[in-house]
Amino acid sequence: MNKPFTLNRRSFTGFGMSAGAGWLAGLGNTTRAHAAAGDYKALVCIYLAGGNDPHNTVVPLETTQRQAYAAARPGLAMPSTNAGEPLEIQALGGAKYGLHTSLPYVQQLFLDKHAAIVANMGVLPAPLTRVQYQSKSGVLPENLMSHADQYVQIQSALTSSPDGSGWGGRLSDAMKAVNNSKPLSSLTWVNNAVFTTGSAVPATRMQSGNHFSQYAHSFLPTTDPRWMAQKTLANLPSGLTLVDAANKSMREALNLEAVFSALAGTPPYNVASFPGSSIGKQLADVAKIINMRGTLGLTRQVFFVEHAGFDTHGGQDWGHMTLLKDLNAAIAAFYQATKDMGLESGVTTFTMSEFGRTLQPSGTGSDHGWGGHQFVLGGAVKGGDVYGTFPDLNLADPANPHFADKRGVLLPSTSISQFGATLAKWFGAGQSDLATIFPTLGNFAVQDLAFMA
Amino acid sequence: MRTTHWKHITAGLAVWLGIAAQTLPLMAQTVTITVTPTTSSQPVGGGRTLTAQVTGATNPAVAWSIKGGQQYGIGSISVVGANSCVYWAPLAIPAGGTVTVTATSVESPAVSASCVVSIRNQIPWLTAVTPNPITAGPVTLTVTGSRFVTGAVVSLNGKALTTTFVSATQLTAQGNATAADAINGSITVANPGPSAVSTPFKLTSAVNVTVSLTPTSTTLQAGGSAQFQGSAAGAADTSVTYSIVGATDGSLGTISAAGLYTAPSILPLAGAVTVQATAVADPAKSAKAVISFQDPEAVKIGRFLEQTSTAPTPQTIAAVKQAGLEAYLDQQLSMPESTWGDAATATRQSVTATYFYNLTNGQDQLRQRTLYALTQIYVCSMVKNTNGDQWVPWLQLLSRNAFGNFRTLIKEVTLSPTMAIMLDLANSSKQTATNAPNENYARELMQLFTIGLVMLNEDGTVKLDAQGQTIPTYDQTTVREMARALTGWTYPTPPGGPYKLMNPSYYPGVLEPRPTLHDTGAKTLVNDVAVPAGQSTEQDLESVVDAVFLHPNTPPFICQRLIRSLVMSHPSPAYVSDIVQVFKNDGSGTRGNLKAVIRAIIMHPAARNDSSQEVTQGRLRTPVQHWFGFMRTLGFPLATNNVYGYEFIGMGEAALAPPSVFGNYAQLYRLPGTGITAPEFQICSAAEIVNRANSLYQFLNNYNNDISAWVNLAADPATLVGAVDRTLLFGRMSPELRGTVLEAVQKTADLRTRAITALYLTLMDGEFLIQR
Repeated sequence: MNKPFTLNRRSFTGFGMSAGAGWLAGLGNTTRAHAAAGDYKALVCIYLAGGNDPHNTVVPLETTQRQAYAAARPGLAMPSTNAGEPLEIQALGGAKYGLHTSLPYVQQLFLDKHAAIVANMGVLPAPLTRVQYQSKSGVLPENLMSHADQYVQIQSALTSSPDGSGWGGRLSDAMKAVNNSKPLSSLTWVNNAVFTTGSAVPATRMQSGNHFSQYAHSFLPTTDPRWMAQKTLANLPSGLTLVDAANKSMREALNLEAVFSALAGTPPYNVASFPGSSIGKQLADVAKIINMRGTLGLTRQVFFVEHAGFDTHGGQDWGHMTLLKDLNAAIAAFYQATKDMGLESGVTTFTMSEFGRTLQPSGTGSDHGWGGHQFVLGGAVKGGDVYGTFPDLNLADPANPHFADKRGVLLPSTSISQFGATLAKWFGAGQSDLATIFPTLGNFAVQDLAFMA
Repeated sequence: MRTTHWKHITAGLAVWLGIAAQTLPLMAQTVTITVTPTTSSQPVGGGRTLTAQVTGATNPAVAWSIKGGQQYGIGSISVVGANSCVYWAPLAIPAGGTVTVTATSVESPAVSASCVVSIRNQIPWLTAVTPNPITAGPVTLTVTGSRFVTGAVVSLNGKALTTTFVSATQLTAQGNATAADAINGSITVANPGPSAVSTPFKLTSAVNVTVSLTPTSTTLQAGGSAQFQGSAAGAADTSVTYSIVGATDGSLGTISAAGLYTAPSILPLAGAVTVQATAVADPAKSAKAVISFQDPEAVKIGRFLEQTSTAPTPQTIAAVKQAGLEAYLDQQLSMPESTWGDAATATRQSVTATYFYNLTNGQDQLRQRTLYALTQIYVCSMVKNTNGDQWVPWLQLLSRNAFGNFRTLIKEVTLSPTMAIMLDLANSSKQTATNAPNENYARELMQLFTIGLVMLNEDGTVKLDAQGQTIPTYDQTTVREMARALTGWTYPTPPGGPYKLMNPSYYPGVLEPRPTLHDTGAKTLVNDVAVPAGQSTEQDLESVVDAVFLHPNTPPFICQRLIRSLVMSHPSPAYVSDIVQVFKNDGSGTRGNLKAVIRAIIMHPAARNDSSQEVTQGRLRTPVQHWFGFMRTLGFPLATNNVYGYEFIGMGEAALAPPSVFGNYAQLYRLPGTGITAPEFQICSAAEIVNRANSLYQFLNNYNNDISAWVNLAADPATLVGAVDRTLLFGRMSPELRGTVLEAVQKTADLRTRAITALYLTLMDGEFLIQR
């Protein structure tokens, strides 16, 4: 490139140009010790936005429970118009459960012992009883059943988040040194996601299908005048901290464009198997980035993708079936891709939602609840079992301790902190890290739910 | 043309339509045909596809015919599919010059439609004329080309010459040429009939006219003038005419017949103008000169307007220049407020559009700038505040109090029904066996709205105890006590509505007290303010507002946030301290006078230092400020019903709809790896900067957005880049940025591409992204 002038805006010499250039220069170097394939771990959070209905996701098949479920959910209980007979699974203790008809791949993973269910988990700062909840005498999350508030709280694992950070972000902060501070260790497909917001490691904001391509220039061949100019400008030190910081973002963007554009080779998995749904496209991106792990020199990555539309107040039978079908198809493609990359045990995928829904229907749907059941998937998962306490669905009993109220809002028996800490521990967070990431973890006797190997 | 069939509707269809069969009327089925196009102009031998659309018939097929059918030389038809054909014009123009092509329904032969085709001669094409150049006097021209037909006429500068048809490729013509024809001659050939004239063939000039114009460049200020001297050489007439390239409405200045250029009083936004001298003897010959507007106060006024408005415009630059900084600031501080529309009909979309419109076009720019800052601190969000009728009163509240007293602002925010939705204060009632006061508002009032989490010094730095530890401003007990004091408020009662203990949500007006829901016990508020038992709902509210208003953290807390949003991300402790003194006492003993605070922030030497060498100077423009700033400065119009609501989400700024009360970016966000507080950088990731860049590029590359002022300067890359520098950076572009942009501009010849490149690269560079 021609340099008719000196690359120095203000005769300032303290500017580190190596950060971007050096990183780019390292592309293709896959032999770094810390990037050894066996050491790679990724946590993929599939966020079910809107509040997934747990009661039609996992159903107890034991006779009295099945009857209690059916009695409490007229018109909505499975089998229903759109959902057939639940897909049977059996926990290690022998109890039988059924998954929604739309989840055959998840069922197979469970049968293969690569999927676990964590029952009745939710935002919970400390153990709480129904009596305490109703007398407001225990420690309660704020604004229960409010999307906006519970969205923040489940993602932050805090009932109020003083710095707006999320537990995924704080986990990435803790792993910063392990990753040698390299970019792309924390990625979100959701704008302003609380989950991936940390203080030391900025989350990279992704948009599915858009991999930092800039419309103003053509990247290949890299002789485009605008590309050349942008590349030059993004690397010009100005001597002004904020000007340099703004240009650093552009430098990273150009580097990321180069990284993504350089991936011309065929990945070891079937790209075409990913469905065209939003969640399918997002997980296709995740697979693509995981496949780049050696190039990126990362050993730990946190991903946050969103599958939206679970606020099923009405028309739930069909709507929920469709959402879970899309989820099942996307998980199938993604899980197979992790196997094909040889990373079945390095990638752990889990679902999370701001709240569950009432057991008692309301019209053709269900209302905002609290606790819910979540899936954890991966070769490192001690699968084929249901963790936590599966709730008793007897709604007729006004003292049933598993419900917070008479509509069948589940009072969580497991906290997001216990759930997250179990995953974070597997990911490599130390005991002191866990206390920082999950400040209320100490309120619980069991801090490792033991669903990870 | 149409015909009608009556058909019986089947009982099955009637059931589907939900109509009782016995009440069914007979339904009309009308067959119609339309032929597209209905008229056509075709050269001889040319083909054209015609399409017929049949409706109301079971069989959509048509039969094509040419009217007059048997006549020779009226062309032919090639049928293409059931509904279209290609009509081929004959090789010579038929009698009358037109042919009618008709499509007839196969199912209903009475129904037809037509296209009337005008057959014209082909347009001739000229390749050479001899002699060339020509001399004045009698001339005999040989014109070579193609598609000439008998009767073709050669014209010299529009004057028909006596023409002889030699062949389809050659004509000869005789006539007289004037001296002007010899200097600037143009030949056309017209075949007989309409629409058959060639494009002009320009003759070489008999004389070589050259034009000179001096000076070739000059620099002026607003209203200044410069004498230009132009002359032509190479012809007897050496005179020139003067003109300005681009707009002729005076906005680029004026130039007299004698060459005296006078700059406008409001300098053009592109910061440069091209003037031109054109030879009278040969109007094709001209010379150009560039006038650059170099205002010695450009940086001073530009920086001031970047702090007090969304962005400078030629008009506001002229206004500041005339009034001076302080007087302009006072004008702005007393400017009538922009309006927000009717709450009853407002939607989220209309509110967002008005927010952007006022930000971009409001006369009360400083108020809009301050309002924008306040919406980042006092956060309501369309995520929770989902209806437009909540937003009009809320934005009016912030607008009204932007230059008012901080205590009033806090009190009105507390009693706002919109905020009461956002943070749940409405219907928060005293502790009972089954209910506890809502703590949400009480907590955020302290943490985010007034005092923050840790004790501050007056200069905004964090206070440390003897052990070097930060000192919390409050604890959970304080939150509970504040929440207790704030119990007993419900939504306003709608006009004529019944008195209810707990009203449902209603947004006009302010929250109403409900003494029976209020906790009247004694409380200890933040800063250990003791509240005696027995106070009313209103009295406790006043105590809470006073507790935060008089808290020592409040002045540095709010002054820092306003400085960061208006002037710089990382103000010096001395700057903060100076403003804090004004907050505490505006000079007449009043605490919390925001008008005085904003005036002090803007006029402080730290803000007015136009040649600062401070390494941490400036602040990042938010996506909204970046976007509407360039639209404002570059003169792109913004409609009241604009639809930019979603444009900024990918850039990290969900305007008026952040995910939580923490806003789109945290007010205390620090630049990673530095100690520098730079809130806006939280939404400046690589993906977000790419989205900024891509939206900007699409905007500039959209032909609906007029960038002709820049295209007009692009013939000379240095002129273009200089103008971009003056307009966007007030002439502060670094030599390196200038050189890089210039190099990129020079690599393309297309003037529009050059203009886009110069604007795009500058608008996306850190030197512009940072307001400094």
